[in-house]
Amino acid sequence: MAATFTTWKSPLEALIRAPGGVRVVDALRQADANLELIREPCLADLDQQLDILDRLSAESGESANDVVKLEIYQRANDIHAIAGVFGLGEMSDAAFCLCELIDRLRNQSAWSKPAVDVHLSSLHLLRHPSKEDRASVVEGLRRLTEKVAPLDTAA
Amino acid sequence: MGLFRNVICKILTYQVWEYIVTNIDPKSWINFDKARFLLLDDHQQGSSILSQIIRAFGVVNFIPCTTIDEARQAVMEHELHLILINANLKESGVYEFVNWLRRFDEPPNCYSPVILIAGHTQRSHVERARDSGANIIMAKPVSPASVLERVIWAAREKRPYVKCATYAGPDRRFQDLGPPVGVAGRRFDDPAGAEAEPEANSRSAMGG
Repeated sequence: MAATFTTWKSPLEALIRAPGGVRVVDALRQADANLELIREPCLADLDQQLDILDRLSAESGESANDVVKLEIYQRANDIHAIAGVFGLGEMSDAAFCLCELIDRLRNQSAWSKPAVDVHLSSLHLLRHPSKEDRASVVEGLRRLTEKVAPLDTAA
Repeated sequence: MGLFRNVICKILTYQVWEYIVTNIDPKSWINFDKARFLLLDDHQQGSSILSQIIRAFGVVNFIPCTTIDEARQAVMEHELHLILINANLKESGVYEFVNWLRRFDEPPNCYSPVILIAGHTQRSHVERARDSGANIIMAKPVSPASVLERVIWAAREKRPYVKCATYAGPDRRFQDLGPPVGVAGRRFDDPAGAEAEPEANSRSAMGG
């Protein structure tokens, strides 16, 4: 099959430029206001996700199966997506570190409950922004992942 | 090999970012009254965040979908001007959905801008995400400004759409520098004189 090239101009640009609408500055301000409306339910969901991660880790024992690994990965990814929107940037970063750890462990068919538990403790710590040394916690998690599951040995 | 891959990823990320920055004037106006968006996200809070953001932009017509089947149905029934997809759906097949869309032979939907919104991406999925046919992959966590910037960038996109046996979607080359220095071009649309002065003939995908 030979490659075909098609030039296409999206109608969206013309729609956006049509008279009327809102000013960018007002739209962004309104978006922040809208996000404030859902802050509480989203943070409540974060706490719920953390509780589930604690339970999954406790149940996993010394050798989690692939289903448990995937569930921990997906829930950590959800925390990563939500926490950063509501000013919990370090918590979001820590959740990303947990995703990276689980991904490497899955590729190596390995498991490290202590490493996962350290991430979960950090997530609990970073859930409350008044705690200090938040950036150093995330940096510590990155170093831990490099030690437990270095990238070069990944499958 | 891992180091090489990381370097290539960083170069690609830098190049893409260089072209994304659109410098939106905060005093300019945007009008999404007549635009129709599709939002595919199976995570309730994630979907809620995106919905609140695009509502604030003035998007009144958007179709929220929580499964790929629902999204396929929406593609077949409605004209869509933009498609926002959570790349981390619990359900597998998100990249295949984008590929199906690009091979869906009914304009305008097969050319609708697709923004994949990705959190952590599994190592085994990175190439599939790149080759899915999405216009852009943006990183979570999102912010209103980052979403607006990408939406406007996607609307202004002028890259041609490519379809071949192994890929369907916007041209993955963000910049056309012509053939390598000292090599005659083989394509009919190679920039004239590119061999002598490749920098002077580069074409940006931004266009405006």
